[in-house]
Amino acid sequence: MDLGNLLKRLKVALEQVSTPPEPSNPISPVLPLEEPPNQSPIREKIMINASMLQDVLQNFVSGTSDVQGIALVSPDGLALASVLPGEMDEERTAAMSASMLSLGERIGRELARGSIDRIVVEGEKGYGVLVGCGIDAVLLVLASSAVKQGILFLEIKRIVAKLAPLVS
Amino acid sequence: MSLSSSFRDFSLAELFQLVDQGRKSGCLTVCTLPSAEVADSKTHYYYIWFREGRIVAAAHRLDGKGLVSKLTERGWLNQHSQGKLSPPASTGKPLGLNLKTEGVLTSEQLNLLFASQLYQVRDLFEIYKGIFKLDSKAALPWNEMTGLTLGALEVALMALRALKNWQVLADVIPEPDCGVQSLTNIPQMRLHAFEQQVWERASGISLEAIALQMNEPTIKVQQAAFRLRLAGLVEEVPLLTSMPVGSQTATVLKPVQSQIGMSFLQNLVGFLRSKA
Amino acid sequence: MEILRVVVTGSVGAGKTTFIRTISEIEVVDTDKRVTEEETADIKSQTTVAFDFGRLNFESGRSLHIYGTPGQERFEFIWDMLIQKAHAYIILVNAHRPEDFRSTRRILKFMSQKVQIPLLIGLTHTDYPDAWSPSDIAIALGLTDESTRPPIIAVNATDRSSVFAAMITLIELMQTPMLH
Repeated sequence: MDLGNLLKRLKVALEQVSTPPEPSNPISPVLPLEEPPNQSPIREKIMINASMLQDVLQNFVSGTSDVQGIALVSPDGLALASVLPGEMDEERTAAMSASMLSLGERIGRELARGSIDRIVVEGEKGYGVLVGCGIDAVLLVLASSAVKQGILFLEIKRIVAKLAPLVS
Repeated sequence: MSLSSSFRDFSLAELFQLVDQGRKSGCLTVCTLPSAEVADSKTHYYYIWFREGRIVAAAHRLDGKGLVSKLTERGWLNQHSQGKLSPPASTGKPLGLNLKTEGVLTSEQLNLLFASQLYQVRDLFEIYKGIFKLDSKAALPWNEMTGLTLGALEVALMALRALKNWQVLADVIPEPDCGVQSLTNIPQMRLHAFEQQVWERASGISLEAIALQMNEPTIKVQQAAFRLRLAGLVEEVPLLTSMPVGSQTATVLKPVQSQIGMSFLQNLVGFLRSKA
Repeated sequence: MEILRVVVTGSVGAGKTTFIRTISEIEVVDTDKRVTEEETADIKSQTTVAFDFGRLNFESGRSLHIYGTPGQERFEFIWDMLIQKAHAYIILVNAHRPEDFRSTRRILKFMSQKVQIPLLIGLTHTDYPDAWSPSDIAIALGLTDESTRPPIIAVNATDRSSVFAAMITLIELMQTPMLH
């Protein structure tokens, strides 16, 4: 499912590159014409490193015990890459992650807690941990309740170190 | 007052609905942009005139000679008759009507001419890349008018029924899981059999369910529902099962928050007025 | 403490965050983030990812709380959370961006299917030369029945008296009994 999403995005990016922009017409001054939008630099980087990102995420989920899912999200709530349990909607999860982290940061500031290390949602069935990943992305990690928090946080620090250069 | 956009953001079908419902008049200029898929495609301009929400004329040109050129093409206007034509825009009556009263044209011929104008309009619905602008101040093009008119909504429905390329409307047609409810008891418009059946089955169930009942492709039902919605004959309604996974809310809740008293509201209004 | 909760919603770039900044007496608690999405980046550089919060304590023990939603549909769960607690809401529409009418229509549908509370439609950027007229926008939003449609007024989100006037109009709606 996630690979499909990435492939879809790659396809869109390729189409945008190959379609010629609409020409402006000097004869008719009355009609409004749109200009093609600029491609954001971060999304270009993601396109190029897409398969590397997906690899790193997949390895993390497969190789780390008790980790159930992971999602890399843009600061405005768009999914960049993810490996999530089947029934989770990637788009909603991405949006929620961005909201949560930004709210958490805001609250942390209001409560004079300094810069935020992570936001943790702890439920009876497991954990959701949100961290910043470089200046431009948010990382969500889902883990079962069996996990040891200390080890989990360490593993997350490691993967952020791996991912940050790919997204900055 | 302006009304302009591109087809991608505001479809021609919805625009015609707007013109019809708003009883709009004026000249709609449509500009189609070259398409990357079609070789040698260029920019084309089309003009459609409306009066009170009804189409009165359509042409590829603005010089007022569109209808006359159709007449000469068909050989319905000889030199003698051309001499009879009054100077443009002096009569305040449609050219077609004038020619009919002069005995130059029959009603069948006028019908054919108007139909040919409508076919040009219908073809515009197939366009994917285009922009439009409605100039509500434009004068009526007497020389392009046959005297026959048709409601914009009716023209849109006619075009949608013949539409081959639904790509441009992909974002606009209702989703398969959308619920639909028929609105009036008796449709004012004449419906095609398929549309009639969809309308009759629109009892708050999803389009998917209707397609299943009718044993027809869902996409056909979606397209018919779009036409019915455009015509104001159905509305989209929530399905009880359409809530996303994990959502705790029912469709309509009674407000859980406390009621706000009148004096609160009055004082707030007073406060806002004093500070404005 | 009596609190009136008003939600300000509308599509991306309609002016929600600006509206709340103009009316709020406190510095607005916003959750703006840098935009990465092309379509939004054309309009602005920051976007709300959770919600905006503004407040007006107009009397002791009485307060107006205003919540601004994010415009993008992926934040629908926030719209849901906020509208459930609201007493009334405003949908802002950018009058010179017809490309946003469709998404505004979806917001309108979403909200009206969740709650039946007073609603005001506020048109922003009506001073632009290519702005659409209120009646055209109403039809474009699917509000074809003039007898049942909510009031539609022009609003300048940056102007204090305009924003206050809009809020007054909304409150007056709450003062008149709702007809079904």
